[in-house]
Amino acid sequence: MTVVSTASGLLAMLQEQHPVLKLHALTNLNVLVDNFWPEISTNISAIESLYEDEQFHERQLAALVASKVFYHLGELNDSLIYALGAGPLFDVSEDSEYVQTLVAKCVDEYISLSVKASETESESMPLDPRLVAIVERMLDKCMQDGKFQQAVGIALECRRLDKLEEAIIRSENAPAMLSYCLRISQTFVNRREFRHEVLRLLVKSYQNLQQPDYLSICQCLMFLDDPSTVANILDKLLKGDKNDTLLAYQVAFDLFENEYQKFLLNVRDRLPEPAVAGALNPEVGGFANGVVGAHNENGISAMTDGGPMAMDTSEELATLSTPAGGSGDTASASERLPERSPYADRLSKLKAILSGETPISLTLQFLYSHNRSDLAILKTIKHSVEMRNSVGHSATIYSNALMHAGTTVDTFLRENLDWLSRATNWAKFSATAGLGVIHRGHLQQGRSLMAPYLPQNGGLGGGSPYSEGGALYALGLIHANHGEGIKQFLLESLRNTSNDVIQHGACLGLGLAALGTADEEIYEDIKNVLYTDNAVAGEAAGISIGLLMVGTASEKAHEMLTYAHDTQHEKIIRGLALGIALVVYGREEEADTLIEQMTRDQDPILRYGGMYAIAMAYQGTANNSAIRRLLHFAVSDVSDDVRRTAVLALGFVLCSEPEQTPRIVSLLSESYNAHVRYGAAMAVGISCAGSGSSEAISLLEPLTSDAVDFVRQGALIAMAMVMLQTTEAREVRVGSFRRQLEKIINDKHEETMSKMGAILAQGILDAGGRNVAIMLQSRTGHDRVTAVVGMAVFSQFWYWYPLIYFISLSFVPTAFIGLNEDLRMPKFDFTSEAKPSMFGYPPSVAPPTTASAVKLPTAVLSTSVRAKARGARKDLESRSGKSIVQEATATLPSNNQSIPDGPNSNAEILVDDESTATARDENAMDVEGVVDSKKSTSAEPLFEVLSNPARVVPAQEKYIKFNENSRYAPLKLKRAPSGFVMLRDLEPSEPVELVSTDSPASAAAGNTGPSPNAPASTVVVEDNEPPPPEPFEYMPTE
Amino acid sequence: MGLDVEMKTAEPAAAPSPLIHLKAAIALIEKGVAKKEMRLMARAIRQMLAVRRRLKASTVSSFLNYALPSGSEALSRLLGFVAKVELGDASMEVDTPPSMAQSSQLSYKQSVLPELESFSYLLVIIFLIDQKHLEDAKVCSSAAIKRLQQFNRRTLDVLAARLYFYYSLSYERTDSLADIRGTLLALHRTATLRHDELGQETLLNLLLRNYLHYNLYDQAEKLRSKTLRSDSHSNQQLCRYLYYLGKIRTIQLEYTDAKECLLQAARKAPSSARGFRIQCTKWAAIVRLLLGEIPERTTFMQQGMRKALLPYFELTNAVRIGDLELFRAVADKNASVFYADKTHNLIVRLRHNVIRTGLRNISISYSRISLRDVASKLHLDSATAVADAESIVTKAIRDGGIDASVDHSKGWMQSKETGDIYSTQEPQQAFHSRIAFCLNTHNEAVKALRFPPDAHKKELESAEKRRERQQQELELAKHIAEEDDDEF
Repeated sequence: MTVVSTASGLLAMLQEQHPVLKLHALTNLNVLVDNFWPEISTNISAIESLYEDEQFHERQLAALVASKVFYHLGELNDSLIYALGAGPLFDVSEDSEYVQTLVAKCVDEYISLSVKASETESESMPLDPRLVAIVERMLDKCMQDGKFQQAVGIALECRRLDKLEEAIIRSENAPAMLSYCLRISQTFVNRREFRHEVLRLLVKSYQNLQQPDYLSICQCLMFLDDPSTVANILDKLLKGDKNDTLLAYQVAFDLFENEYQKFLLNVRDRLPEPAVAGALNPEVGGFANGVVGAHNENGISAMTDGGPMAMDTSEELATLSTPAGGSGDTASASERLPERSPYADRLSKLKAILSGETPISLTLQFLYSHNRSDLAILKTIKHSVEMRNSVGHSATIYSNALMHAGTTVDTFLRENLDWLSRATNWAKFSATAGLGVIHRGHLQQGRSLMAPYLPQNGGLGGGSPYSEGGALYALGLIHANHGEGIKQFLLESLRNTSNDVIQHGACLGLGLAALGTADEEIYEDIKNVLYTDNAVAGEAAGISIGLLMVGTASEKAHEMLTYAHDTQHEKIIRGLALGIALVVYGREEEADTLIEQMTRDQDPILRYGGMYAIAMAYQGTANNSAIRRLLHFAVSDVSDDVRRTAVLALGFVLCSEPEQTPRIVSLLSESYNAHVRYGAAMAVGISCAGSGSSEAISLLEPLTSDAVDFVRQGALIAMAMVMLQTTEAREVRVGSFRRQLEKIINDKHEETMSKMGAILAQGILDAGGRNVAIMLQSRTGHDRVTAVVGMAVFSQFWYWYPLIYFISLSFVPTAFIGLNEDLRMPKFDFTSEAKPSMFGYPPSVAPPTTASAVKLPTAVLSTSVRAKARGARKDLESRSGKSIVQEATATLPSNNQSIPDGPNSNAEILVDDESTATARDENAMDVEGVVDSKKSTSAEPLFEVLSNPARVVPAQEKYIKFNENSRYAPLKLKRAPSGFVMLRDLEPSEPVELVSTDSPASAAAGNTGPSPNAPASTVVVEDNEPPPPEPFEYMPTE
Repeated sequence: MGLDVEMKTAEPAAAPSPLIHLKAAIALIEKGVAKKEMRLMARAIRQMLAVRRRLKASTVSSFLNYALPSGSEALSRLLGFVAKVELGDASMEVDTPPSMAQSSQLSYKQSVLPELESFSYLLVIIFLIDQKHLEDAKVCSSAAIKRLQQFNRRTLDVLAARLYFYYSLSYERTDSLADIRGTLLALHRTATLRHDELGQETLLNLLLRNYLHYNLYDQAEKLRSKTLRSDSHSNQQLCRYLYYLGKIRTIQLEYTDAKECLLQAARKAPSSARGFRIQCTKWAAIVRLLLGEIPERTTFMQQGMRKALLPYFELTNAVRIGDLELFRAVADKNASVFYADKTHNLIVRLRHNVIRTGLRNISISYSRISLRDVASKLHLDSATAVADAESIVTKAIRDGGIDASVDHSKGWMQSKETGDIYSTQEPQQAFHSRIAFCLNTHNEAVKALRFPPDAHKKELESAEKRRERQQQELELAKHIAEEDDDEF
């Protein structure tokens, strides 16, 4: 055995003159290099010079040896250069660590070079063709081995669209690959321009598929801002068969969820007019047109009159609303409907979806009928807050507004008019504006509801400017992002006044209603207000311009910046700073110049705006450089405000990756600077909103008992945002947090700031009748403009409390609303395969609930002995508190029949005398409880049957299962089971059974809004009273 | 666990059975994998080493049956090795349950963590080495290494480092270290690429040991200088590294560095590593002698080392006196020891130092002495003794060994007056180096401290306490303010 113990002989041979000797030495060294590299490395220069020697034949061999030596030395860059020099001798397919490492290095190098090349925009440095060859060879190999996802990833990183396309085409499952590609392009591609290129490519590939995935195509097109193509696709789908129509509706609903008002309106306007389309069928079409026209007129006149029925132009709504709201015209319209051509009909339905009418009214119905807010909580707050403390007083009003956001339930206000009237000045402003939050989305009747407070045309209205301004703001909130109908009115109100408070309200209202429309006319008017240089009006004007121009990155931003430098008023500068930030929303690198300008400004308020600009421009991107910049400011700026905002802005940038935030801000949350701690708390609250993430809670927990009052305030609010819709069954600390809130509110010695935080936290925790979540991203993973903007302006409440209401923009109802092709809700059941307590409502507050309008009706199951049932009642009460109940009035008999597994013949429903029950609740219990075993009434079932429309919290989505043999099936199975879901009718011949829900229109129709000075109208209170129980027959079961 | 009970009755000693320890180790490993906590892995290994002496074939095989899924390749292979030991061991106790019962015992898990598998390998290898089944250990460890190369898990690093060590040990015991050099180099490369720093360290040490075993000092130094070293992760590996480095430096005549390395190695080594510390002390003693220093007597009188260090003690004595005769006698007497320690070539180098020490003694004793006398005192008995003495003296003067001058024409050596050392900066420097050493030790100790994460958060005060404190502060402030008022 000849074990060589040294390579020195071979190395000496390299110095020989004769090339044959050198070659022999090299060949042997190539074999031995793995064992003797330390020795060879001392002579590496000899080998290198051999490679550089043009005379030498086997230069490539020398390169290979040199490459291997450098590899062993850990100098991968040099190693790569020589490996490339080795040409064919460097065998990519060899399965050794050396080759694998170098190929990986090669790909890395290529990626960094091509990214650099594409970012500098100049082809100054041509890439090494050998490098390119190796990378392409690897990509090909990848695809041959069927690892297309990896190929797609590398191609995206290398900015190689051609390879990306190839990978998609060659893969066997192109749709899956496309959706994968879409997902990673949204999350991992940092540059906006390149992302758009990828999206264009994706749209192209999608369209080449056998069955194009229109949902995804339209999502892509929305990002590319291409309304006409979307309109074409929708039009094409409408002309197709039933399923295509359903798909078109689904596309429209999904687009609606992303809330790009401008884009949606563009799409709508590009669709053919229903009248024109109907003209194909002249007779009917003409008639329909006439009806629409007449209806239109009627609607507008009703609006301006402030009459009880301000029905909108859509026939859809007319048919959806209950007969109570039906005037003669609407009735005739619905009668005529069937006569119209199906295409025109579909078209108008589609338009109704795109303009938001249908989804908003459906949402409103859902929130109203499922409202489960607990008035007892508000009562406790009200009693514990001192009379003279105006902060606590208005905080209670804010809290009430948030709790009932979008539900139209203003019982609390009506019951406490005396108490309410204590609000003066700005408190009055926000009290009035609170109505807007409560009635959010009540598009038809918003005007009439607010009428008593609105400025009268003559300008002689006796109302205080505060309530008038508040009412205008409220109108904006009601119509947020869907303000077509109200824009004009708000604009006129703005023009007709010179009072700064009314201007303030009108500006905010206009900004909200015309969110992101970039309407020039409105802009000019608001600008005029701004140039009056009034601090109060100017602040609102600044924010309003921002709202108007969201995401346009227009030149107006510079105009605003100039004015911010000119004016003396801090309030105006602050408003403008935030406005500028909103203008660059989502523009990423494009906004960098402006951001740089703002963050270098001498004025801390503008730097503060710069932080918001980073937050808005890079929201949801988790962009590393943005995070780095923010962290830098968070620790180095001299102004506390800037530092606080910088940390807070992290929450926006990271809102797509909530798991990251607690880790990143954990150190900041222990900062000595209270402002930074506050910012950290809010950042976690914003990005982890509704996640119930345990790290976030652990981070916030110590902050809720911080030494500084405003940190506590921020932490409490943030905690409420994190715990939104999280049950005690999922996270134990929810219960203790609720108790903590109660304690703080009742504590006499607690500082006002944290008390206010606790009251607001209560409102957020139970927001929207416990049926909404805060979602800054839509279900498809894209950002929701309104929500992010709302959250950003909300975080300004530090300076201006009325801005608290902006948080209601980020509320999304957590509903599953299944619709058939008529856009109505058919009866439809599905199961949630989790314990009901996992995702149910929190139990209502116990003792003094006598006056609580939402106190649960008590349901009792019968077993053989009635007395037993009575004994078990307590258990049931707590149980029924957790299960899904349709609270409002519902008719017993029809519901009874609708449930397939209805009560057994020997199990009868017994209803207590004083209580009424909804049939669905009972049935659900029957199915679970009685059928399983008659005795174990207290054992919790493992699943739960939900009926359309149902509350499905985001975390619950993965437990949702659709019954196989149900009559309806969702159109797209892969889509998350939440939001608006189009249902396919598998038995079209059967008569359709619809869910009967009372819309809030009927409830509010009777009264034209309460006035704080007038006695409470009793209509609403009565309406919430459950109806008397249905007659029943008592039959002993045995 | 019927088996456990049996084991307990078989061993009436109070200590719990080794099997329980091993099972606890499994729990630790699983926890460590789940939490990605390396410390737990190291603790698991420590637990195993604690019961190493008490391991029996039956224990090992029942552990294997417990830890590995039945029917897996690793299980059958490892059981094979253990069974061989069982067969070879005549004095086996009879209470081992029959193999049938073992296999029928419920396996712990169907799929097994690679960490657990490695742990089982490690256990068997150690067991085999302890039982002197070295060839088996060699085969088993090779199999383990081959298996390890299939994984790329950072949680394996700690176990892998141990496996490398025993792999090398089993080959060293069978004197075939050269065979695995290539494998070790490949493993080292892999460890470097994967940023497995513990593995890197261990493998580098094994490679150095491998080279030094064959006296390939030059290659060892080349490898060492070409590899990047990060901060050390394991104290043991650092000790070894310093020891090898000291040896290399000694051979390369860089005695000052070598001394530092060797002393540090000896100091850092745990007190239980007696053999290692003896080796370090031996080398350090020689290096110090080569540097012209005389180690303190206490160095050789350390507890438990006296006998092993005796040859070196005698050697030091000879050098101290500067008696060439005595030196030669000691070197001859202990030649076998020095050969075994591979210090023989250094002993040869020492001869010069003996002469120099003698010379220094002479220069201290005599202010002027003729070179002839010097030659006779040094026992230079060659033909040209005086010329030799002259050259030796001149060289010693140039090296700074003695402070003297040579008068070549008159043939004598003139010593210079020794000044007062306390008038120089010498003592200050000595103090400085000592202080620096102490500070350094302190800093390292502080750095090595581990704090439980988030312990400070528990100390946050509750709302009530805060209010109380603020109240008190307020009162205090009021009090002070009142006092201030009183003064006016």
